[in-house]
Amino acid sequence: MKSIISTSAFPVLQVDSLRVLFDQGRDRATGKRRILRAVDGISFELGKGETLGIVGESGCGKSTLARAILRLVPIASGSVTLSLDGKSTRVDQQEGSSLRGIRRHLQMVFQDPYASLNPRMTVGDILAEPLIIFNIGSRKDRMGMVQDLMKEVGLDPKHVLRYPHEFSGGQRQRIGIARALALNPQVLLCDEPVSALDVSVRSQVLNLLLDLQERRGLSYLFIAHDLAVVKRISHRVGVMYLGKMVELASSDDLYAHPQHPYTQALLSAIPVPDPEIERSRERIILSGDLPSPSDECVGCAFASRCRQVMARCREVMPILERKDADHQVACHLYPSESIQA
Amino acid sequence: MTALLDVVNLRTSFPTPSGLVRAVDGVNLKVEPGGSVGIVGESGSGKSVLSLTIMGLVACPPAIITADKIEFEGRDLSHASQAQWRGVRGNRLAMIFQDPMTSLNPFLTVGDQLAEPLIVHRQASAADARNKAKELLQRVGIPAASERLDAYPHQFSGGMRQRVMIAMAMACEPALIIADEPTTALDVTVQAQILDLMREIRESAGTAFVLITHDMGVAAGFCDEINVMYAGRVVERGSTRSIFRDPRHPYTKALLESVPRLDDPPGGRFLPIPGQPPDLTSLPVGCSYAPRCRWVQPGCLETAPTLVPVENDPARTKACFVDMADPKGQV
Repeated sequence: MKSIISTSAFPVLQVDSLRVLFDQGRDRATGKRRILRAVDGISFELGKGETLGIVGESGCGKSTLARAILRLVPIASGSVTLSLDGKSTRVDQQEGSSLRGIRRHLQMVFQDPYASLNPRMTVGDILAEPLIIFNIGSRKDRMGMVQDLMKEVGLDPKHVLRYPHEFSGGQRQRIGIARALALNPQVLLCDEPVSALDVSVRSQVLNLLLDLQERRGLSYLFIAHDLAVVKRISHRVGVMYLGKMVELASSDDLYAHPQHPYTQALLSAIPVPDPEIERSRERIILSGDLPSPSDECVGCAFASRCRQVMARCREVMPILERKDADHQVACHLYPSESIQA
Repeated sequence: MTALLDVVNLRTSFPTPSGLVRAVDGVNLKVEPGGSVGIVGESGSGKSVLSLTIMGLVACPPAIITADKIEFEGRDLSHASQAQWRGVRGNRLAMIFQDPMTSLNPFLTVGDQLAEPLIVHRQASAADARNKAKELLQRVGIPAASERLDAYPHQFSGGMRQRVMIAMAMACEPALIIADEPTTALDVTVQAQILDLMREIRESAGTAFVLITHDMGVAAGFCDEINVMYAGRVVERGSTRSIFRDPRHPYTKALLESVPRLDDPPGGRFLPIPGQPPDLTSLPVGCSYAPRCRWVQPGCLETAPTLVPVENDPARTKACFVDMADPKGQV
């Protein structure tokens, strides 16, 4: 059984009020600037050796969150702090070569193993590239490191001269993971790492991620829309809706006692591969679609689809508050007084 | 009661430079009126080619299609001409495609696209077709239907586009709708809405469904009967309840175990199926699943098992020599 790691003890990554805005130009009708709030004030801590799962529907900003932490998209406001060996660095304040130095400790595994590997490079070249950039080892050392990496992720080192197209989807994702590990990072940002894979292969890659975490003490930010996978792999889970974190709790607690009406609806919408449970359980069907994140929104972003909506929800935006030790929720159904109780 | 759709020994293969790809390799499929049959399997198992072949949408040549029988509402379609196919498709036999983003014509308004099958098959006048199109949009739960008739597909969200696809499929009151991964491109909350709509159509209009999906959970909630496909063949068939409660084929069992479930306890390892799905150009001589099978026996590598009834359950069939309850020589 996994234990809930006290995240405040050794936070490796601290994200505070992170905001990412995209300017969409002027609205033709009104002439007003349209601002898309992709990530709208997200805060969390990621402990050493911890997996924080981020779930939400497409367009909720979960991928943009990961890209912003790595500074692949510009940050509008807020801070990202990386703490390594007692030394803290503000990722959001670095530029140029010092930013590149930070990325050594903070690597990303991308969703699509077909599109994220250069088709003209051999596996060996792909895995050696980060080492060359950071000037690590001689050519011969690097050869050995590449082979070790391949072994570590379960690829045959004999295939070092093969090109990505010669591998299956699962093996390609292993290459993507090996590339992310080449510089021995502390934190991996995994953006839907198994969504493109078949179910039978998906479990192989997930087990690899679990093995690597055990062996290297890695911290994962695990972004996915598959809530069942996230539940298994994560210590804590955050639920995002339209750029905001609406609920953040330990994995056990979130799935056993979801508090936010959106989390409840999301969980009830996931089909369970069991005909009896699937036909008998109560389902909360949300009406309508996700509203556009560029629309101005005064109250709670979920108010338009919430079945427990109150007048207050349309006026005041709820903030993420602590319900108990490891359960935070942003919803007016749980006013602050009861939270403290 | 005669079957609505009766497919016997269907084979679809594609000649490629690296050999003949046997995408569908001897499949039998029967759908009763009002029934709902699920076809589950991983990508490359042939489930989409199977559905496209049944719809007469696989170009032949280059594909090589043979079948002992493709009978729909008593008409044999295995040698139907393109003109005959056009009379059936979109009329009594309709299809919902996976990707609502690319399967609607971006140059035509939704109203025009909905009216087309009515004008072609029912010789409806333009005005009648437009009225019916409006009713169809209302039927699938699109608000402000009369204004939305003149909108183009890009003005709809993904879920709304899939509703339009379903409305199109329903236009001529088909007896059978083949839905190929109808919710795969959609978010889970929208998926729940679309599955609800399909369930409601099945109940109120008595339309039969063939649902193709890789999501065991979706199949569990929607289908009465499940066909599990692997490497172009059906390896197990049975009622949804029996397949999920008591899988008799090693692949079905492994597939069900490998899917993480929401009601699993958190933590713990995932249970993968070792190895890779097979290469369809060079399938092994014996059972295609043998290289990945936990229960493999020497005989499995020599002859391919055929689909035979499971003892003491005549409604179940499986293509496997091994009895998992008593697997002699299990590793």
